[in-house]
Amino acid sequence: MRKYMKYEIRGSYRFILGIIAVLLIASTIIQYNIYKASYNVSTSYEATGIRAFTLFISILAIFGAFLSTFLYIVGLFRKELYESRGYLTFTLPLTGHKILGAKILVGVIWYAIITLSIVLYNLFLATVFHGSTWIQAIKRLISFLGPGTTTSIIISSLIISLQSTFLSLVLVYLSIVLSKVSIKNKKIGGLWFVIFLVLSGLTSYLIIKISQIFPYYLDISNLKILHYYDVFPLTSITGDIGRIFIYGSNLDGYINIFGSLLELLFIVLGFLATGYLIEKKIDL
Amino acid sequence: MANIIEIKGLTKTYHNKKALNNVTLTIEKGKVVGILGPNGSGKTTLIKILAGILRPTGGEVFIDGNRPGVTTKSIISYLPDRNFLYDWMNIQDAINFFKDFYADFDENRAYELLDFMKLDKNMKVDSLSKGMMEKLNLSLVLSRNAKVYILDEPIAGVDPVARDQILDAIINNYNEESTMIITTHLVRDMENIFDEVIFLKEGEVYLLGNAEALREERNMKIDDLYKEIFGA
Repeated sequence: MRKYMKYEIRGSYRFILGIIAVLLIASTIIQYNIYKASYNVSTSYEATGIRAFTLFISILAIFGAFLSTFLYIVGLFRKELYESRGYLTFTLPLTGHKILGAKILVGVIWYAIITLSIVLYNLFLATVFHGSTWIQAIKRLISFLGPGTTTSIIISSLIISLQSTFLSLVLVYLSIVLSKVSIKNKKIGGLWFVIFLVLSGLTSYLIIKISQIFPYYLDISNLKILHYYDVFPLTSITGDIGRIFIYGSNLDGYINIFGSLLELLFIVLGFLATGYLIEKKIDL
Repeated sequence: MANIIEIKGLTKTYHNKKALNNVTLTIEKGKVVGILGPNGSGKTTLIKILAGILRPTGGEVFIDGNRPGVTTKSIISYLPDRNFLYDWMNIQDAINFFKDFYADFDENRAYELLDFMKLDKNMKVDSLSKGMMEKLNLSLVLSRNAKVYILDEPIAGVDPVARDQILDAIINNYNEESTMIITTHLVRDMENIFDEVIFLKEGEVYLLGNAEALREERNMKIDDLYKEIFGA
């Protein structure tokens, strides 16, 4: 599987580098506008004219870059199923699960690299434009929250982001394979997306439902299990308890145990089903 | 001699059309077998089922005792009827790829074949002509010490010089321990290398047998026999 990942990375890194370049340019424009706005309050607080236009385009570019990455990853897999490259991939002595696992891991790695590049580059830009003031601000925030809470926010956010990224990718691949298998290998553009929307809606609904039925949350900072009302006593009146992840009053993160487990179950079932379909049902 | 491939009652249906209808045959180890028939006769469908990228609608297929799957893919060296390499690759990448995934890949033989085919390892896959692509794909496929080679139309659509090079490469690199299955409708160019021939007509086995015996029995070349069967 690692060998296959290597070739997946080699085949797509140029595109990802291009996406990162777009994101970094867009970040620079946005940060520059923020810098100008914050240091020229007396003259012009708002970006106007060409600056406003470039700011708008830059924000669009960031959304566009993430969307393009998603569509690129989707497109690569569709090419495997509908174009000649599948003759190489699916005649390799690899199980469907190994091929799928490699594709999902590479997708997650690309998203992680893109996200990390943006975060680090923006921190670098913040240092360039604003000096070390942002570091002081973050230090003050950490001392206000406490190191335990900060760690719990980071770990719980990471777990939830990773789970949702894995689930999204598994559902994308499952939808593409289902669209190929369900209509006897005829290519109907967009069918996979309809299947993806249905599957995403269904899984989200069930995760929310199970989170409502069993509103027990894991406090990452001390690994204690709490009822939703223990975190937010006042919401026992409103009954708003249907979320898989919540921030407490101190921004501490809590993960709904049953919702999260159900999400994991969907990831595993989706993965097994997709791998099986790739190996046993796909006709090229 | 033992059978390497056993096919029993194999059927493949696309919607309402039967591409293969109740095909039963066996292929012995160490033979070069020609699967002959015009376009639409079911040759590629049969080959793709053996290669494990098409599922039969009915019947059974065994390759070296296993149903088509991961195990059989590791012993089959398959040349499809199209370019199957990733378009970002250059020839060296393709060699590395085969070396990484196939334990039976002989890198030295690959370089020898590239040399013979006059292909440079730094050439980009997406810049190759059809003939060069065919030669590259064949070089990679023949560089494996596989139990079964499956070549789907290896000389279709290439110029006569490339055709001769491809035929020479097949003859020179054929290993007598292996089985080679070749589909073609260009029978005249290839008939001399076949030990056995299978004529497929409208998805069914019309005739099969030893190539030499058929020539003697019918007193004609396999190419003429092909024309007699499919020309009517």
